[in-house]
Amino acid sequence: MSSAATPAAVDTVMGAVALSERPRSLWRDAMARLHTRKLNYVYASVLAIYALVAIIAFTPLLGKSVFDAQVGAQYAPPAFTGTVEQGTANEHSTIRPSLWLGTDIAGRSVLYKLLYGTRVALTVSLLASILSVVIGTVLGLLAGYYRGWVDALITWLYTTINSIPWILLMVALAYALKDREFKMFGQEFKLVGIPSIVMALGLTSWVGLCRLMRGEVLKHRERDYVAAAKAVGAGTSRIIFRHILPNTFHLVIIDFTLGIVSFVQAEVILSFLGLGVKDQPSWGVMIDDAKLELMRNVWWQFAGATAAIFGLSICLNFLGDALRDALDPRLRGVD
Amino acid sequence: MLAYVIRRILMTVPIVLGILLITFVLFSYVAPDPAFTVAGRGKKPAQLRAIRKEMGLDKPVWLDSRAKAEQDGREYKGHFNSQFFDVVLWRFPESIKYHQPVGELIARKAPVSLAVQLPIFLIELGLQLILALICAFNRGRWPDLVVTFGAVLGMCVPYLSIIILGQSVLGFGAGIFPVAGWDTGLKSVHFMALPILVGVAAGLGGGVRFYRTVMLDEVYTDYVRTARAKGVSRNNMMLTHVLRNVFIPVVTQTVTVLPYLLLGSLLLERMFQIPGLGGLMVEALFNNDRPILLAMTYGISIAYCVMLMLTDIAYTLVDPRVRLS
Amino acid sequence: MAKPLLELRDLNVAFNTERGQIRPVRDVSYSIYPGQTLAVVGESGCGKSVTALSILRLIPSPPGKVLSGEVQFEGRDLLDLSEREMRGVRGRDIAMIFQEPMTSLNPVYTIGDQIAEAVMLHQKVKQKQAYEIAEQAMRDVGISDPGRRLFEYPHQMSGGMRQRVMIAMALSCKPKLLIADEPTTALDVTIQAQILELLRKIQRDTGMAMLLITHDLGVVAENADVVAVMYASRVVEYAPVEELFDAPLHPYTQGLLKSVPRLGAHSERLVSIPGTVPNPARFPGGCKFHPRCPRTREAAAVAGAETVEVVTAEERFRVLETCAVKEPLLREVSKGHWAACHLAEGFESSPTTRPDLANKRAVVARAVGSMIT
Ligand SMILES: Nc1ncnc2c1ncn2[C@@H]1O[C@H](COP(=O)(O)OP(=O)(O)OP(=O)(O)O)[C@@H](O)[C@H]1O
Ligand code: SF4
Ligand SMILES: [Mg+2]
Repeated sequence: MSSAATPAAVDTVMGAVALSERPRSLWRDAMARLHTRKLNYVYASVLAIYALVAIIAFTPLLGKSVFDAQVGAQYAPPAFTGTVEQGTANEHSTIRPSLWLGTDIAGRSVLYKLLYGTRVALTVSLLASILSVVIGTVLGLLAGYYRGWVDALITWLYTTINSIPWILLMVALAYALKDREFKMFGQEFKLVGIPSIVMALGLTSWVGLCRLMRGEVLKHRERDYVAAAKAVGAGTSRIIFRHILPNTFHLVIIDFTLGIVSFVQAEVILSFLGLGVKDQPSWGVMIDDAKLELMRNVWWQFAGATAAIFGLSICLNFLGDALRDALDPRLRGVD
Repeated sequence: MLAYVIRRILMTVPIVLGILLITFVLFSYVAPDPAFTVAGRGKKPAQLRAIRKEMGLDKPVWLDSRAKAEQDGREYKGHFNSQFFDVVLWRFPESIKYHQPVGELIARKAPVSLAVQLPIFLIELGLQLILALICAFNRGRWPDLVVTFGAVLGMCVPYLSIIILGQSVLGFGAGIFPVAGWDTGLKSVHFMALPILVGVAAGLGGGVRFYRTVMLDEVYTDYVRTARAKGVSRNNMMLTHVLRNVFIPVVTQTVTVLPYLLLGSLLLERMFQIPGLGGLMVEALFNNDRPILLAMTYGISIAYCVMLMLTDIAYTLVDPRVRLS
Repeated sequence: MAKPLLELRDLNVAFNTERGQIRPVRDVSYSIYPGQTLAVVGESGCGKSVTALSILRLIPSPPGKVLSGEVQFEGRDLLDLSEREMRGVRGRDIAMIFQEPMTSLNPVYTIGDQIAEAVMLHQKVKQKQAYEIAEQAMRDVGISDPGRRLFEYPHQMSGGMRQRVMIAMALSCKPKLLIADEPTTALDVTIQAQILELLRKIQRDTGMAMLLITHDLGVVAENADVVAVMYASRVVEYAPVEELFDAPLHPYTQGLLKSVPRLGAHSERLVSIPGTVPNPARFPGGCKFHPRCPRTREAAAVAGAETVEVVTAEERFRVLETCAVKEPLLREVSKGHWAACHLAEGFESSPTTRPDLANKRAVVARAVGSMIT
């Protein structure tokens, strides 16, 4: 017997090893699939830029005084440079980023408002998405796992909510929560702007995920691995959170991603209906403000805010689709 | 079949009760006090109390106690056991703004909404099905890629932006259509064109993607393979075998959007000053006109719920599997 | 010698999946003569269905694609036909029935609609006549009360009945070749026997040729004239049915035969060969059977053999270097018996010819148990 270490032989051994390779984990596999499409990196980078801008907007760097300041004449069109220190001896023209996207009715910088608006958009949509995903996941897991009256109650709740047109319910809730004062723990809370929008969006948008999760859990709780976990004495919460949740988590991720898109868009509608944020610039308010500007040929505020929403939505949409394909067990193909 | 219909109707009852409960809690507990709206700024507490009493808002929210009612010297009726059943029986107070019964207002405005939304809906559905069919036919080739890509792009532009753009470019800029407004009878056709165009453009994308997925799911089924193995052409396969099966999700999708037709698009009607339900609702939001908001939320949800029920029953007519089991 | 009705020549099919191209069918050749039954056997995923579907050009595309090869049918290469010409072949010259009678019929049309559709596509008849032909076809396949059944929907019938409907539909235009892709796998044993009996009878009556795809060696023993054994995208053995059962040459075929229980029992799946069926995305190099092959291990144990070590999840062992490096292609090892194994007797000196056998079986049916010695 000789151990022939020819390249061909090594190749074959590799082949044999590959043959017995264990299936990669769902997540590793999904990442590998996402990685194969380089465009996904583009989407992710654009999203990272949005996030970065939002974070910067939380720092004094782009604080209220910056976007609130008058930087030029009313409705000054976009310009690369502008005059500074007007009327002084030192008057000269220089590059002024604040004018790159023109000014609004009060002479404020549209660009700064736009950048600052990222903060509102991302805060609202992320928080609302988290809220709806948490409600949907928890209720879905409970309904699917416990069945019986818990399931009946939760099913009834989501069927009912699903029977009210979403826009209507969302708007009604936003209306109901607007400027509400609550007494809680001996303290007064006033729901202004963001919290009431987040609640209106989050509390009305969990039904789809809840229903999906319930279905998946019903399927998974019959699987062998759950029986095995029970057999070794795992408690209910351990089974739900350690065993079933990881197997259904891809649904949560996808719902979360696509939720953000619809919430960014919903914020525009709420702003239009006078239910949006009040004291700080948001894309929705900007578009709403711009509804008559366009007829006066003042297009920059409208274009800027629309483009900002468009860019964010499209990246999230494509990334959401990619995630869906990468994570969908049905589409994972030959294994 | 009859048993199924009865079962389905019975299933709707707890849901209708749920809708009632949700709207009731929302508007009785959470929503701002309409007395302020009626009274306007700077009213004294005594006046506010009088207004509340007049509107029936002074009663306890849930159930009243007879003893307490007598003590206060008023009718024995709680908010819940009076207004709740008022709502069930479609008895709403007058609109705060219009001083008209809400029912009348809604009845007057619903046809206007319908006149705009129905054409939007039909044109949109037709286009969506055609585009989805084109995609499914050419799966993976350029027409598919172009249409799907376009659909996603369309979905990412905010609805309001599309309206504003359509209005100022086609209406104001090019002057092809009136910018906004409405007229009586047939003359309103003139004003309808632009909102319809904009509405179709705004809603097209999502449906195209949805129907494309539905159709592709069907294209790869076993029975389609059987049909192909018999020698059925691709066109025929699409138009008879696939489309007939796709019809089922289409019906569901369709019936569920019908109540929205009545509601009109909140944005569309407001922006184009169409005197329909959507516009009414927006106005009511701005005016804090609680009776209208309550009636619309409740009424449209109930209509939606009934529609869902009818869809399920309609299923049985389209799909023999349900019909006969 | 008569000319074959259908002749597959070196067919190669690929699927372009997200993880790259997979090739579930490689250099597959076989031929079917009028009135003959060719059985194709092999484990799940070895490419039987994909091969059959490519004859009718029905592999799902995208992602599927025929890379090369010929499908000669009555002097024409089906792969060269236009889509319109191909439609004339499908259903009329070559009909196909599928494994899943439950899903293979369109749920929203009646049985009558679906059979009549096939009739009207290929025969110039009016709708009324088409339904009459459909009714007759249903009677021919033993469906009772066909006049009423015509107006029933697929879900109102049992699996066995639906498979009969599929057969009625396939036979309504009197095809020259029937491709039966595991026609009985989804049915229970008694129904299986009835369906196969029905197919045999039809074949006797009409002289139709049949490509019978199956997992089930019992079915092969009772129905086939010639057998092609497929393993991991290739035909690895090809012989007349008696020859194959009496003297299998390929270790994979031997394994299959061993895995059939001696006493009767038709429906045993071919599961008892140790090791896992290779994934077409990651076929091993050399002979694709070498990680599971007992013959090469035995040979490797002989002193002085050139060997390499193979490591799988379960075990480590040594195989012959040739088996691990060089893929054996089908050769005519003895007259009318093809095999693809380096260690088959006389393999090295045998000619590489395309398998082609006009044999018809002598005995109509034999019990499986008696064939295995
Ligand atoms: N639509 C497809 N997309 C990608 N790969 C496919 C597709 N259809 C088949 N395959 C691959 O081709 C290989 C062969 O499939 P095929 O259906 O021919 O197997 P089979 O021998 O008929 O098995 P079975 O006995 O299970 O029917 C499979 O392993 C599968 O991975
Ligand atoms: S070639 Fe080698 S590995 Fe392949 S079947 Fe023959 S002996 Fe086994
Ligand atoms: Mg198969």
